[in-house]
Amino acid sequence: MATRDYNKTNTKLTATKESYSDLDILFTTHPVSKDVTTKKDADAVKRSVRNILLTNDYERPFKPNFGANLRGKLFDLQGIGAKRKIAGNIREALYALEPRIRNVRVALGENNRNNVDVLVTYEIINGLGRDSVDFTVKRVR
Amino acid sequence: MATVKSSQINATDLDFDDIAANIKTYLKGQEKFKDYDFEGSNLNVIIDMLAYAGHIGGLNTNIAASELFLDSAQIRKNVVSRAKDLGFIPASEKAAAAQVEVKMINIRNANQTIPTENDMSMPRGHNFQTIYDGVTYNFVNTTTVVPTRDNTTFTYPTVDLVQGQYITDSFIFDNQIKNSKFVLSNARVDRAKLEVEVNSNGTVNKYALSTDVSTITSGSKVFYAQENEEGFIEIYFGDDVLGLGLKDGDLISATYITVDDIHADGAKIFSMADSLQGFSNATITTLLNASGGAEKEDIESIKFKATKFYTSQNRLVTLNDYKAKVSEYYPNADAVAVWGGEDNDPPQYGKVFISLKPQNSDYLSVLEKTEVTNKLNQLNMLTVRPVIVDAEIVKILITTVFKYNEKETTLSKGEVETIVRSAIVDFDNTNLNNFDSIFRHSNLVKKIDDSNVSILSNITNVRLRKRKAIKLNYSEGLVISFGNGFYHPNDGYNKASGGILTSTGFKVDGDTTNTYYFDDDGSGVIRRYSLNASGVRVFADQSAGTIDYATGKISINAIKFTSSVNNDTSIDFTVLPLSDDVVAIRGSLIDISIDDIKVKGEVDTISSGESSAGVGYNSTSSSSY
Repeated sequence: MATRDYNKTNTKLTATKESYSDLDILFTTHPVSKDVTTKKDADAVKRSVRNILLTNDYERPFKPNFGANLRGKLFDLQGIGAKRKIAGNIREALYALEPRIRNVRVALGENNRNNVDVLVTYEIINGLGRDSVDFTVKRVR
Repeated sequence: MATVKSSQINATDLDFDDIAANIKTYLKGQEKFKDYDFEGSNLNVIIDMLAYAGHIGGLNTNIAASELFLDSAQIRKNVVSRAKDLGFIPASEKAAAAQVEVKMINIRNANQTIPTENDMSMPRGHNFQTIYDGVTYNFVNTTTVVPTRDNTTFTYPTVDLVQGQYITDSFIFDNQIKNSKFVLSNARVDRAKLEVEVNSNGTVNKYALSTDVSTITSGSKVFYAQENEEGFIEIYFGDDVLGLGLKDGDLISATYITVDDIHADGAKIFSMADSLQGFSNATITTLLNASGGAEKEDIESIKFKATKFYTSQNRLVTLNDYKAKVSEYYPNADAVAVWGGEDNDPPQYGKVFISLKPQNSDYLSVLEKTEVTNKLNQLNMLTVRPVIVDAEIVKILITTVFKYNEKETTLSKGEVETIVRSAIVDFDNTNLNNFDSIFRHSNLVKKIDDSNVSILSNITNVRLRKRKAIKLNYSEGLVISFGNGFYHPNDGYNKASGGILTSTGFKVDGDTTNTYYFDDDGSGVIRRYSLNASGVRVFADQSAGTIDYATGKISINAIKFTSSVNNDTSIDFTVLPLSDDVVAIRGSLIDISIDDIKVKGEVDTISSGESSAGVGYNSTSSSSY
């Protein structure tokens, strides 16, 4: 029978541990540590989802098909079933590129002057709960 | 932040994906940022940017390093620059040149007086024209020619023409500018025909193109010419050590020929485009057809020649020295062969023989031969004389009969025959037409079989033909060496039908009626015969010469020819070789005679299902022709 080490010192006390951590793309300084700030857990996933949705084709080097290419689809809004198609594309891109989420729901608002409001809700896999991203896509020019 | 030392990053990869993977591996060693493996994360954006910068940096470094060496450089300006380090200046474009005689008759002024020779001199740059392949090309004469006069007839005995136009660029020398170089305004310039004059305080001096720095002194009036980064020719002058330097305000005139995009090599009919003193009634006799037009030296050629040039060090000692120099002096050469006089047949000691095959013709013109020989003589060892000989061309006559399965193709027999013919021509262009080349029979047979899926087999027979120029009305013997043994299975082989030798027709002194031919008796003796009305051979000379089957040499005894069936005063000798593989020796070139290719297709009756068990199946003889 193994002997219990009653004198073992506690080297690390961790109540919860972050599953996800990412750089803040704004590169702001942490007020105390003076290090670059981080995005953690749900915030990190949210930022990732936003990155995927707002990246157009050929924006990332050597990854021509990365992203949902939403801005590229603005010209197609008038077609029959266009919204459904965009929602399908968003889901497809997120399932392919973001393995940390499931049950993605996409709601598209009415398009007005080549703008479209997008609301994406999803569930984070490791039990962090549901979250959502909303933004407006519009033509650059 | 990261707990892994930066030295642990694998930094040797150059591909984007590999670099990104290495950065991710590095990030696995730290706890703070865990999202490096998720494609959408901000961290991944940074990783992609780093990998992209690393990849592009590595790629640029790789390209830059490659361009530093002659062997791996791909950009022309870098290849030229590396070659310059070895003292090699690539050849420029070369204008085609021709020589004509011009005769102008009934030349009288309006007042009926006859102009003087000087009045009628033809200035340099006088325009001529030729129409070649339906396109008009401009030629100009290269030197002022003063005619000879016979009453009202003015004759310009030799007028040297070059294709293109004369252009003059002017520059002013400014000694405030260090290392000034003057770039010619046209890209396609024949550097060898570039003429430079410098007007210094009203005194005009002609400057020569520097070719050998060892002969240049501080007073030499020379200029240097080289290709610049844009591919234009730039000229510059000496520094009062290696050539006379220029003074501030000196006026430089560079006159040159602009080379046309298409070279009119082979053009032989010229007309005067400009009138001369108002007279344009000229009769022009072509002395030398246009030849020698060439593009600027390409990258592969520069890479090949620069190292050879460096090895030869501007001297002519070894055979390779001669090869390198001849290639430099005559960049239009397709192939160069050099052999010592001791290896010649018969041996001629104290000579070195050079054979050149120009790109667009079989032989060099007399003008070109003299030009190259004169240049070689300047570097030659005293006791050795270079001799440029025409390449001896052994033509290979191909007859092929192929069997094909007509169910395997939708093409007609004629179309398949055309494909086979093209395959043979392609084989010739790829493998032959060069010194030191070998015609490998089995390779051609395979190429024919592979030329179309429907072709099942082929029987390809080979004959060799060599053309020998003859002098009319002059008693002389002929020696024709094929360099390949002749077919001779037994003594007296095929005696009745003329052995293995045939020739084209000719007439001899003392008989204006009969056309004669040569054949052999199968025992080493050549016979001369004519054909009677029934087509039977009537022998006029039973021992007109000898034929050596082992060495492939034909010797014709002294005979006086008066005419030949061939238009160019020559006789063709055709033989059956011992081997179907043919090798080119010394100055020989082997070449498939495109005009003499005979192709015949036959439907394979067994494969097509027309016959079975070999009944009615025709085979072609492997020795027929």
